[in-house]
Amino acid sequence: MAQRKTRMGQLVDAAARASQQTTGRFRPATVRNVTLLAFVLAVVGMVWGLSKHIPFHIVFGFAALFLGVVSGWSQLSFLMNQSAAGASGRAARGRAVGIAMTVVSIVVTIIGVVMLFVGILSPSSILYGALAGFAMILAVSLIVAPWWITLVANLGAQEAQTAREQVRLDFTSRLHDSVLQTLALIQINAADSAKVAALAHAQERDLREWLYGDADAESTASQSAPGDRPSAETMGSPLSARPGESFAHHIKRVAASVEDSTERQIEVVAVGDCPSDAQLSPLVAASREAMLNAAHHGKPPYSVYVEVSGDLAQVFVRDHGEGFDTTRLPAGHLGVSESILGRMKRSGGTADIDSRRGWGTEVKLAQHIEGEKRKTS
Amino acid sequence: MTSTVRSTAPAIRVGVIDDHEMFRAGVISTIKNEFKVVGQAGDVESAIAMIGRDKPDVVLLDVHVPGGQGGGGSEIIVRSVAVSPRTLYLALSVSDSAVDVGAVIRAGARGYVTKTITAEDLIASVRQVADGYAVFSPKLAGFVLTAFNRDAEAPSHVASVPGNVPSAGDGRNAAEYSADYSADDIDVLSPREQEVMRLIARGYSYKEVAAELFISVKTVETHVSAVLRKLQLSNRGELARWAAHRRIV
Repeated sequence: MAQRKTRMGQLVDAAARASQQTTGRFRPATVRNVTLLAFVLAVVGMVWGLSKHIPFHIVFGFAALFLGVVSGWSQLSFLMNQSAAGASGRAARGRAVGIAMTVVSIVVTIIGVVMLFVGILSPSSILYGALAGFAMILAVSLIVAPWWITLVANLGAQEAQTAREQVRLDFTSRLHDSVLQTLALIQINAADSAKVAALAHAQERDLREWLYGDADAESTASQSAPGDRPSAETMGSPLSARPGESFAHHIKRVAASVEDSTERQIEVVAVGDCPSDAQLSPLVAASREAMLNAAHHGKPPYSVYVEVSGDLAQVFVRDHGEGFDTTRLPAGHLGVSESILGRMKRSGGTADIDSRRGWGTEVKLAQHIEGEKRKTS
Repeated sequence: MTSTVRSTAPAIRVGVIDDHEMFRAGVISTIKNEFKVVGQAGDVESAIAMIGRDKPDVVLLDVHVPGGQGGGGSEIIVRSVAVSPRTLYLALSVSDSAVDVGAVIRAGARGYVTKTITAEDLIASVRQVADGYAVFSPKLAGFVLTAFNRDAEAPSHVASVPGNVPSAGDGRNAAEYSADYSADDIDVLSPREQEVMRLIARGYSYKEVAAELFISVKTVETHVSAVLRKLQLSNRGELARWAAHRRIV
């Protein structure tokens, strides 16, 4: 349940991104199409008017008027969409184009009006009329200006407010689902210091993933929201890779599930990465066994190092326990030797268990990646 | 008792900078038996004033500290060099972001440890810094390997060497090492440095790294310091971006 709520923030993000993309890509094309359509209609109208023997200046005047007004109105929606897209790089360019278009549409409209009156009025009256019209427009715009400025300012403030509100919503849902619930659990389990430490660590891990993790991987952080923690193992095996999940992230998720089930802290360091696909799943499974084994039999600090370089994926699992004799595995370790050594051998990889008395144990796993091109990021 | 200890080796003078007061108090109570805590601060301006006034040997500082021009720990280091050139810095951070950690290292910190570090490890790390060596956590080693590997994909001599086959003739001591250290090598890690970084990333302590590679702990420390220097001086894309982020170039 907690999972669904934490996703909400991401949905908001995704929706915001999606709307930004559509306005960025789609609208300018539409404006051009509308202008083209208006132009075609104007030409068709002119041809029709001339065929009906209407004087040329009237036909042309109406066509220019139509064209000017349509392109002017198309600019209105263009500008509004641009401002909704926010401070993206294209906004400035879009605005410049918009201003140019508006000027052109005004000029075209004025030409249209003048042409319409050419037949009825003498040139000097047109000039006087135009002057009177200008004076009128100037006066009206002076009256309207304060109102207009206020409107624009309010719009900007409102947009900023909406953006802030969205960010706040995102943070609130995140904090509520994770941090607040963990704090509640900590208060309930206050007497059990191991449990409190484990809860705090798991919460830290989630928050880190959210703050510093990459955006695509973000959704997985909510997977182990505290409410679900007791059943972390049952709610979908950590062994199966999520679609599009990277190998390093997959190992981190497996380590997180081991941390949750054993209440130990495992530090995972990753260098290089590649997609986590079927050929790497034996390596992931063997790594999990190695981590479980370290958490159960070893001592902290527990370290996991993942390296993908060229066509080789390697995982090292280290603990600082007492170590054991690898040549004479006690009964408890037989399963481990099968699930780590046997598994890697069958999948064509290599596994090496290095264990020394007083030094601890390191499990070294390696697997060649075939066919896949290495992802550098 | 304490006076005899002090007479043999003067206590290391430490300054603690963190805007989180409870955390600062916790750090101070952790280290106050081992070191002499000479000053503390909670923002950029008072931190620089404290360093200039008390001139600590080692400053433990958070990556994110308010005040100044918003540069946090990096800004403190850069601006304090003038007032106290001998002071060394150890970054103490909850941040995992490569940019944050990279920036503070580029500014001149001698290492970086996370705030979840145990008391003994913190004390050992401060000692290490005071002795002039770098402190590398597994995570920092991971950052370094990533940063140096990413831009130049495997130059000829950095071809990946799985396992730890010790390369021939690498029983050199520290002096020999620094002798053949030229400016041209600044953008790449030597194979031996890569091995050391990789072992640290795998969770090995310096002592364990030394045993694994059949070299002395001193040599390991020298390698690590060399890597730190490259980290600070290299103009490689990833590293330069760390610096640019905090406007500290």
